[in-house]
Amino acid sequence: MLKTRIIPTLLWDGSSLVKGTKFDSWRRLGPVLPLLKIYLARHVDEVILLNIATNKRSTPINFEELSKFLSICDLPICFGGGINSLEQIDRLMDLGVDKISINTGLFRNKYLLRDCARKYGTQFVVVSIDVKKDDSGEHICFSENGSKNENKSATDWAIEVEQNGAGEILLTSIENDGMFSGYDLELVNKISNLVSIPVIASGGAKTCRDFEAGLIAGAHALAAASCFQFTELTPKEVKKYLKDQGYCMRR
Amino acid sequence: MKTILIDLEVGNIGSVVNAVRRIGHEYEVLSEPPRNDNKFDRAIISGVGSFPFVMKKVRSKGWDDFILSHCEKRKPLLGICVGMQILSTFGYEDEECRGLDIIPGVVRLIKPVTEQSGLKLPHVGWNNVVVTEKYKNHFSIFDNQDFYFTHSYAFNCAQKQNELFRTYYGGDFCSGVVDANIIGVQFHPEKSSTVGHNFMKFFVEKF
Repeated sequence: MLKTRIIPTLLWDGSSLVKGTKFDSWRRLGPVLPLLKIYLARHVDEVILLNIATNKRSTPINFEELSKFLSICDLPICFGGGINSLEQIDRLMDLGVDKISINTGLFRNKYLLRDCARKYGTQFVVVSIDVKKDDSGEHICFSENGSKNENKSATDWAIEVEQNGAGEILLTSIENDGMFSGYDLELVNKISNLVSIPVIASGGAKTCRDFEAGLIAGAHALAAASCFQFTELTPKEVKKYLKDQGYCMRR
Repeated sequence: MKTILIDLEVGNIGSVVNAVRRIGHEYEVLSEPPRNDNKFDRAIISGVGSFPFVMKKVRSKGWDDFILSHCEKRKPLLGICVGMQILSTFGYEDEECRGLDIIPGVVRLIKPVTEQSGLKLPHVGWNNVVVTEKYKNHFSIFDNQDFYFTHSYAFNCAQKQNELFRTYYGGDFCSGVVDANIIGVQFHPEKSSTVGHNFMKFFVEKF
């Protein structure tokens, strides 16, 4: 049986781990490598490493530091943030990145997803969809680290990216991110039911029950950043809790 | 003796390099077949990308002739993911495409099974690998272990004796093939933590 994945997310500004709330108010936390080593030792299922543009301008990818992380990582690692060309993706592949996550790049170049899927296969591309609700309560896509409204509904975009070759969707609620309020379950449910590709829920998880709620809403995998860094909850505890509730989890 | 890591220039060669480095085994990354393969005793071919796209790369660089000759000399070969799939007779991803026909069989979408069950594709994540009866003794340490998968197509063996591993996702599919010195795995051992590391180590040191 396929196991449910618990995926810690590491937010990185090129030199330090960072934490934000609602994609804003970024604080620097220290180096990535020690935390990555802890996660690897604790048998998490996968890692997401996001290159965050904390100053709202695009952050160049620190390939040198990234190659150090990749050399010790014997788990799948998804890297995202600031990817907008096949040349960058080639370089990331060479370093040992297993999947890439793209958001803004797809809005700026409508052929990028198709070109990437054609070259590397659909399972290589995770489309990152960052979402805020508008005044009418509709879920709308944002790019550029939550600062630019793309005027596109999350549902329309999810369907479009699936058709164009996305392998998975990393679905983040900007309003819930870093807020310890649980995932946006309505959003997770809506998108999971719409697409036949895996959806990774992200943004807001705090307790074991939050993770379970994400699965009940239809998420294929569960990502979290703040709760593993700022609370006593560990990925191992989450996996044990979910296993006790009857979900298939990797030992 | 070194292991050749075949670089198709579209594969996840970086992951495989990192994994072999962690084992401490000697290797060389080659994007073209070597003129002289005396210092190499085994090879790994890993691929991401579509079957026809990867086969095109394999043929254009002359890796097809090299791999066939390598296997004829009974040198060990490990195919990972699409690297395993191209060992087949035909693949049906996007279009019908001839494979290397080293292990008879065809590669098809696992959809017919998953469509009934409403499961998602690609098949992504950790799943259980079971060794088939014939090979239980030799591969027992990998029996019933979770490895990392990310694919939508699977190998359908023409001969039961070539089925090494099976995995369940809406239904059973073949997750590993074997024929003498040739082994192919659908999962990614280079990304499967400790058990994956052990599998890679097993291939480069013992197989």
